Amino acid sequence: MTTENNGSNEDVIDALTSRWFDSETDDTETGRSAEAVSRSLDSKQRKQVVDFQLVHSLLIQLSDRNKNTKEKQIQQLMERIANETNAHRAGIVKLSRFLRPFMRYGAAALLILAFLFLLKLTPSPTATAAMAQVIAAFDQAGDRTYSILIEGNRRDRRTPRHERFDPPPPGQKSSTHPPAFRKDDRRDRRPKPFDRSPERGREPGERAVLDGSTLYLRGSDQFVLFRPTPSGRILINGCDGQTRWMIRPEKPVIVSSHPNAFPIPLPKELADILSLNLKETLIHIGKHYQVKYMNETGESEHRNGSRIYLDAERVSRDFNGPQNIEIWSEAETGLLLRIEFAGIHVEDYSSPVRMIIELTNQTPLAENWFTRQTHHSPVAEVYELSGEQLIEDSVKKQH
Amino acid sequence: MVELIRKTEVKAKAIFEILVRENQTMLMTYLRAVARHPHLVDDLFQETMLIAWQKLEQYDHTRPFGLWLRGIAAKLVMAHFRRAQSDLMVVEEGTLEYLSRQLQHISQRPGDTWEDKIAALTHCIDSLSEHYQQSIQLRYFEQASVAQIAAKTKTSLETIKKRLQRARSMLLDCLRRHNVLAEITT
Repeated sequence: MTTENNGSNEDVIDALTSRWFDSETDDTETGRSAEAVSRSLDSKQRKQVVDFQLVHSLLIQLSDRNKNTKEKQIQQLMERIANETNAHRAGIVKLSRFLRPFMRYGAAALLILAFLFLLKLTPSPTATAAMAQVIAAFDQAGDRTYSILIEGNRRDRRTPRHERFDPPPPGQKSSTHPPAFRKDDRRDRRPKPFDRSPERGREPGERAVLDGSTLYLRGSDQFVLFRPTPSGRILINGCDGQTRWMIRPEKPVIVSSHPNAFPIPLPKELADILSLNLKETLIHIGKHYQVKYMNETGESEHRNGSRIYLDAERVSRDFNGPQNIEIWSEAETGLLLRIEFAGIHVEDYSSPVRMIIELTNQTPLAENWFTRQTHHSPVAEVYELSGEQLIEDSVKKQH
Repeated sequence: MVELIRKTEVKAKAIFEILVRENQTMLMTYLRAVARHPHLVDDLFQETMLIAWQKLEQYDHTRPFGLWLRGIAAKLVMAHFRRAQSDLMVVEEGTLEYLSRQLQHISQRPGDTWEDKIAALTHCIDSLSEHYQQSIQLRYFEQASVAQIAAKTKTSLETIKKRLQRARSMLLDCLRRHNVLAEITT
């Protein structure tokens, strides 16, 4: 049995690597099918595949004797670096000429040093402008769909990755409710004792997770977040701009007009910074982080134009947030494309992880997508919570 | 003051160019192992080095520079993978980390240049039997497609694919025996 399994595994790896290395490079279908197969491999098999990839790469490198190509590659890189440096130096030269008369005095030299020190500390005008553009873009932005993913080493591998819940086609009212609220659900639907804490009492294995969640945004104040549980159920948090609501499997729908109602459990590094409308998150970054404008590069796949890449390092010692955050946005519009939080401690992961929120879609959603009625059965029980009840239940206990 | 800044920049760029040249082949090997298209490999190389230049003050001098570069490249690869999964193969942090460890293993081998460190690969190719050696020679050194190799050798496509894969497998074993690549332990 073991021999058969080993032979079978080798066949899978051989077929996969052969398909990858020996097909035409413009064959995207090969790429997609190879990626799908590779996901079915276990850790050791993937390492075996990586070794084959490395052999393939070493053979290409060994056969590549064209020194001109290598030299050209380096020259192109150094030219780009020189262009960047020249642009930066032009700003310093203007400043230096202005200050030259004062350089005769020793005190003036100290003034220059102090100024350069402050210049290094404060965000560059470009970074400030880029952040302002991204924040302002939220108010004018249309419907956006973001995926939330966690990259890291899971401690518990018994729980498989779940399927995301796909939205209905744009313009159509949702006719598919999340699994827990289908009309033909024959489970016990008698009223249950009212559970004031949105996620209180859930077993750890049944808690909704951020990894694999989908976040829908409209403007700067409407959102819907689908969070899956390991068993495949979906928890939904939403806001229509005025009312917040939460839909949980086999429990009443809860609504509130309190602006902070139904916060979702977050890792400690994100508790102060991550808000579901994302705009507030960016405002926090602007206040507590030193943001550097890295480069304008590449093509935005969502529209024509390039991307801006911003790197943010936390400078506020009393602000509890990740040490490093990276942001990508469209240069032309400020549309937020991707945001990555590094060094996050998440339950079930053996080491700090990266949490990535990435724009996947700008397809217009149904007009009523951000109202709770779109996402639950018409006969579902709905409870409205006051602000006092929320302070007691939602803030004190998160799980 | 301006002249001082200019001279400092010239020196910094010269030093960085040395680091680029020393690590160019290693980084290209890393990127070619995960990306199919040559232009994508080149783009990722340029972006990695550019970011390394921009973040040079953050580089921890106690760690190998090549390792730091591969860390930057890994992030770019993952970012690209999110957008275009068909361009990259078996991309996840665990496998990229394993790939980086293998390249670190090669970097620590004796030899002044990367080519010196992997010199055993030439011996391994020479030790292949005729059919396998011919397949490798045509595929990599003459850059023939599988179809072209099949036509030239008057053999079926499937046979050529199997020969290439078998040849790569024997080269892998040979490189492990020569300690160019480490064995998988877990």
